[in-house]
Amino acid sequence: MSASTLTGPTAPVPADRTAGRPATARRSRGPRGVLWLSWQQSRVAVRTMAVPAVLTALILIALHFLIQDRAELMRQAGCDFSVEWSRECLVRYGRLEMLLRMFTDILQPAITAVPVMLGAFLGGPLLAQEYERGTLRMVLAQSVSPGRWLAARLAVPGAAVLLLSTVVAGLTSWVWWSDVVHRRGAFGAFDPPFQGFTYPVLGVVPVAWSLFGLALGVLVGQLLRRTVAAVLAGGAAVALAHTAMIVLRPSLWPVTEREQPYNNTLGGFRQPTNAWLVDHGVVLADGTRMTSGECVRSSEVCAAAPTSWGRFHPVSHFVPIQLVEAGLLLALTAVVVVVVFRRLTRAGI
Amino acid sequence: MADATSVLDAIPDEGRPAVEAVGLGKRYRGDQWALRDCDFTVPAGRICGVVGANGAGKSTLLTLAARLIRPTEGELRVFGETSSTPESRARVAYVTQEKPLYPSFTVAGTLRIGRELNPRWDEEAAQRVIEMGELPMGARVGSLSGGQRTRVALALALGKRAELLLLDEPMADLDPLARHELMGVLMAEAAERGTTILVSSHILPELDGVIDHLLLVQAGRIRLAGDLEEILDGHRLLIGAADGAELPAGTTVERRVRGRQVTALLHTGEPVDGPWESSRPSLEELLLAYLRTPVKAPVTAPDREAAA
Repeated sequence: MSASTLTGPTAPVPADRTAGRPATARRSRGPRGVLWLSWQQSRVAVRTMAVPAVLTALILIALHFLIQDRAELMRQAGCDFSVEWSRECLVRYGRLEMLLRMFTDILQPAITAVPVMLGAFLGGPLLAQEYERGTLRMVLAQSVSPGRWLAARLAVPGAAVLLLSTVVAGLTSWVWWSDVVHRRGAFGAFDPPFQGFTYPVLGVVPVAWSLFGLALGVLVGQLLRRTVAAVLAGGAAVALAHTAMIVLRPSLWPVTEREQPYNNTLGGFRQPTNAWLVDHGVVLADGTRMTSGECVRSSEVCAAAPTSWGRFHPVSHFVPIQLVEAGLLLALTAVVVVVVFRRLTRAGI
Repeated sequence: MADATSVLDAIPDEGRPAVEAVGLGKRYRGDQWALRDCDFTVPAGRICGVVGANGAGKSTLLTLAARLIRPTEGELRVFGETSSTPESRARVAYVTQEKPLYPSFTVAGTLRIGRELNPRWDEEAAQRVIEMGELPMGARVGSLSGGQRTRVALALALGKRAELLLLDEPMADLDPLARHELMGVLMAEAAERGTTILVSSHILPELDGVIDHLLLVQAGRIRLAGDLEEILDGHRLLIGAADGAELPAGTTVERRVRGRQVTALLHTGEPVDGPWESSRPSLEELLLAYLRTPVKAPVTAPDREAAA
């Protein structure tokens, strides 16, 4: 053990006269060089992220088993949707729904906000603090090149974000698929996948958003060079990007268009289960199309229309849209990281 | 054994330029030139004082030499290299004016940064500087006083075993005793290893008897550059009656009248005739005379000669 620590492959100095000192030999395990420094600087942040992430993971696992358990109790009591529910069924369903609501109303919004938090509290201060305190000059006055230092500085928190977000996103996707989406609520499907707080916690999108949020925060911090401003602006930038993506998202995959007979009593276009209705309206007898917005102003004309139309993403578009969005975000992350590198290595500090 | 040879290799040939500026200029955002048209050479092994008023461009000059910023025009060669290379980074150590350190790191942790990030790290040299100040290794840097932080920053720079040491106002917040002691450490380092030192300061007595080379920076220009003895030999401090004779030939750097007495600093190598009490100026007298007379016109020819 002691031999390997003295002649380890990562040891940068072959003739390290300090290696023989007991204090050095004792401490030479673990990461070396710039990675050691980056780990020292990221340790607290990684722990601060890991605690809520692990807690969320445990809650998700517990939710899965509790939901399975209560659903089984309902099945045993014969409470399914084909029969009129007894009072006992309603009580049991209430207990089940409480757990489902915990997933949809608490965990989903919290996880959706994670990329914004990462941009604000992890990414923003990461370089802003180094510029503000001048420690960037101290560290770049050592023998390490700016590029290598930055790579290590970003790699440690980046790897932690990648790992933790993958675990949490995997578990939310699993709980949602196995326990939530197939249940029925008062208005049909319990938790359609394209909903505002559902979509961003499923699949690969939360991982891509977390990495992008971190990178964008770092860039904002590098531009502002002040910690407090970087926290605020970093979070705001990620939130703004998220809003832009919500607007852009329907266009990430070709939308499906259908027409169906219009029945005024049932309302407008009825999309398939779990589909995302992007836009809808009616087709008048003479063939002119009117959007739902136009129908608000001339409701009598629309009420007499024979056909309604809808543009929607069926549930089968969920995975392609997620992949396009994640790809877009990872490409943007790469661009942001390259800009940060260039600003550090070319412009000087 | 390997250490002994590497130390011998590290001692540079006397006279080889360590730092060489050619038409060097640096403009920050906006159109404010921090440095302009700088030409000078600092030979290896010298201890060079970089002197000037606040905002004259001393820090910009040291930051350029540390390769933390790039020149806008001209070039600054460090050991012949115009830009940083992996090897050159290990040869230059830099302590900035603010002595920035990570406040959450301990003293030992800060020294470990030096050990992890520098191939030639000398733990003993660094620890000696810390121990002389009786700093506890386990103390957090954020809890140290300004002077103690300066000591840690200097330990970090000395442990790097650089061939060029750039020190920006290194002693400003040290007490006189620590200042004297750390100057001694720096001098011993320079003498033992032939380290070239560029030290900026506006505490003039701090430099006396320490530096053997001078760079006088004024309003972004190099006003004087060269061997300290040659510069002092090239100046005469004259004291005479205010209503006495005209000042002799040569460039008058400064002329001050106090009552009936006039004191003048002349840039001339020639002995002075006339009703003057003439002497060779001390470093402090020379620097004060220059610092009191700001340059308005571009640098004059005789000053440029000093740089050659």
